[in-house]
Amino acid sequence: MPSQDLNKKPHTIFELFCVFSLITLQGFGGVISIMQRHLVEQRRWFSQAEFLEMFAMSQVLPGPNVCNLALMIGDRFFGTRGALVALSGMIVLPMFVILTLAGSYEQITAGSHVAGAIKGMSVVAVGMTFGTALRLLSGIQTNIVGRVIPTLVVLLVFYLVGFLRVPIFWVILFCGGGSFFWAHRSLKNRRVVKEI
Amino acid sequence: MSASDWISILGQFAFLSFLAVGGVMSVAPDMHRVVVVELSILSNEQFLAAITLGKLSPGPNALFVAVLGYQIAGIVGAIAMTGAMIIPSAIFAFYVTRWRRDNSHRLSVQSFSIGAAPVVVGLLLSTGFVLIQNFPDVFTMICVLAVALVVWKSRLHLMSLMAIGAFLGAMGVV
Repeated sequence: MPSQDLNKKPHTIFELFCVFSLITLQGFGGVISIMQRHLVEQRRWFSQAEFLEMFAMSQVLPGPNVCNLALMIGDRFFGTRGALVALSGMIVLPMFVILTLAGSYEQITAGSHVAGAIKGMSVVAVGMTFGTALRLLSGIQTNIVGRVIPTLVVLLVFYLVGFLRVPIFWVILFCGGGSFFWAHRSLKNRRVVKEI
Repeated sequence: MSASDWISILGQFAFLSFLAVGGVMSVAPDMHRVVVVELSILSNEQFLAAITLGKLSPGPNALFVAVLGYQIAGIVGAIAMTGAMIIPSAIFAFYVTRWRRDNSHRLSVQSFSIGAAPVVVGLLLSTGFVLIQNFPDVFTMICVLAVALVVWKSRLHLMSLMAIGAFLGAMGVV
């Protein structure tokens, strides 16, 4: 990654643990928005494009997406140890919180104020998902593949999954496949041009 | 619960871990089948309570699995179930990530990176769009869009947005 040098990075493995704990504890109804904001915009460990690339990878892999993403990031900075530490950062403290809540579940759902607060927070969480998706648009690389095809892919995926509720598997297979071949072709053409 | 039941549950959860493409929520129906229908160690209500807790508490939604384990066998159950759910897929993700890094010069790996980006953004947009339909009234939808606009265009702290949402919700405004 050539832009890696411009980015900042965590100094110690303990910092890595703390950052991921901080991110995950703020992640009500979706950790990805918080993670993007922290790592790309506040700490500048990654560019928008680098983050999007890792996020894409974590989506395709099985398992909890944000945990996979944390693992990849930890591995990138501190190798195997980093992967383990980042993953633990993502789950240890929230697990403590959720089990405490599990003990008092009845009281939580009964209180109307608390139920109202939860509803208010879920509204914000949905808005954050949208907002983050829009922010990530700027991370889509257009220098090689042009602007038209990626834009069409975004719109098509949104239409198929959001409106028609086509199962994600088929959308990834066909839209992802199409997008992959377009990128492949563009990269190949560029190499040919370079060789000449 | 017998040892063979434990082996069965942990084994099935570890297997589901590999199928959970697109997040653990996508295999929640299968988990329900295992613990509620087949082994009937948890009630339907307990399962739903775990899902709800996963949504409302901070961190990965997948942690509802910890609540399932907790309901079955306390803290030990919580750790065992979370481990069964996360460790297999994490090991797989780790090796795929390494492979990809060592092969980043390959045309196919680069094409994947460039090609997947718009698909992922489209999927995230549709997640937001599908979730917005949980709020049938126009006022709430406008609130969601306002939050989206703020997150998109400003650098306002996300936690302060959350706090405002919680406050307005508790007051009964939203």
